[in-house]
Amino acid sequence: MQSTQQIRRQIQSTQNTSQITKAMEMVAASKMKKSQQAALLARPYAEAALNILQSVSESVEPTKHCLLENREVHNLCLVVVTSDKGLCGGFNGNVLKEAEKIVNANENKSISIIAIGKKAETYFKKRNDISAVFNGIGDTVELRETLPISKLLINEFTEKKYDGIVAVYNNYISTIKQDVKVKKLLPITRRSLEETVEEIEDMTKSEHKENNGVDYTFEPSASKVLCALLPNLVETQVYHVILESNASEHSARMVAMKNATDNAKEMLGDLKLLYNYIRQQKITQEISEISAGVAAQE
Amino acid sequence: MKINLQVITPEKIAFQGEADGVSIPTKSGEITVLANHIPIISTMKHGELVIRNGKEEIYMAVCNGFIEVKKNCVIVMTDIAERIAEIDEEKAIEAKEKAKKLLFEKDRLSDLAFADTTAMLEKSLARIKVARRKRR
Repeated sequence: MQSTQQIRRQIQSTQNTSQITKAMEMVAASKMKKSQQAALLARPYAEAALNILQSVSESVEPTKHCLLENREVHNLCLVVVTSDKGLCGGFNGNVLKEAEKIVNANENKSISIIAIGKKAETYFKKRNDISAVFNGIGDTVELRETLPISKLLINEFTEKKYDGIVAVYNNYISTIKQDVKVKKLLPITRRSLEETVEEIEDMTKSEHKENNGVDYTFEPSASKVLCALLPNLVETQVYHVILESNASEHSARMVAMKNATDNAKEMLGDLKLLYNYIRQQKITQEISEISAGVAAQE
Repeated sequence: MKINLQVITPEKIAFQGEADGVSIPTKSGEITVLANHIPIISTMKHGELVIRNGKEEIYMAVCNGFIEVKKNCVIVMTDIAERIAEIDEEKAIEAKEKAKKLLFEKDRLSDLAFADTTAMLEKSLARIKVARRKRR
């Protein structure tokens, strides 16, 4: 049987841990709210951009713009989006597992990894070749911070270093549910865009889509608008991916910390019960010893 | 008759509501959109966006983007959209000087850095232009 002192020490340390996890839960909750809001606010822009693209592609045959070029994929680039910090349940593990699956499925192609977040970096450092690492993307992302990533992607793609770029990230569905998603970033295809639009519209449930029949004038020209719009779309998509991942990270962390706090509380209850049990046993024993001593003296 | 105007940036909706008209700096010159404008899609450059509603005028610093006009519905998509109150003029002037200095050494800049610096210069120019409105 353990001594009371030992148990007291255990109670103390469990209490400390639960305080820490409780604090982390609250921090994650407030960050989650912010990142959710940011994710929501970014949606109208993406939607408007996609609407314009739709109108443009109705009016002009999508000219051979290099971001639309569909090449046979020899060099695949994987953008793996994780967090910098741990303690967020299966958040990073799920993304890394999915990324690993893609790497294994495309063994015959050359694959490079672009790691976003420290967890992806440490995971892939040993076995695959990482071509770029982006760390320290803050809790509240601004578009400006994601621009280097999208610029890198656009450059590498136009220089034909990669023939396809795919992002693996956590898609935010609700506080308790995040799904790992694989999204094709480049080349831009009609289908991948439509998917994004559907996702966005599902969530915001907006109701304007009727573009048909409107005869637009383009300034300076439709193809020039298209050229300006496409890089913008890539930027928006990258930003979107990172926002979703951020919102998921904080929700995942909040849930994980809440579970930890609950578990700690349960453990505390058990420990306290055990502590009192032993204490009482000791007292009973002492009393019986004393009364036995008194009885012996008489 | 009024137009229904939306000014959207990737980070927020900067303006949403009805207006009499809006002046927009496009790549082929400034245009003013009033009610019953023909449908148009155009690209924007950096500069000053003016929203007119009755006697009220709202100025915004904008930089690059697109506009879409259809059926009295105007959507402005831009990288930044800042009102006078949001602009720190001193900082903008500082940024402008810094960008100008960097551009003088453009031989040493990579293409990417050159594009970045140009964007920074354009943004600060737009901000300064709008900030000066305050004094008039």
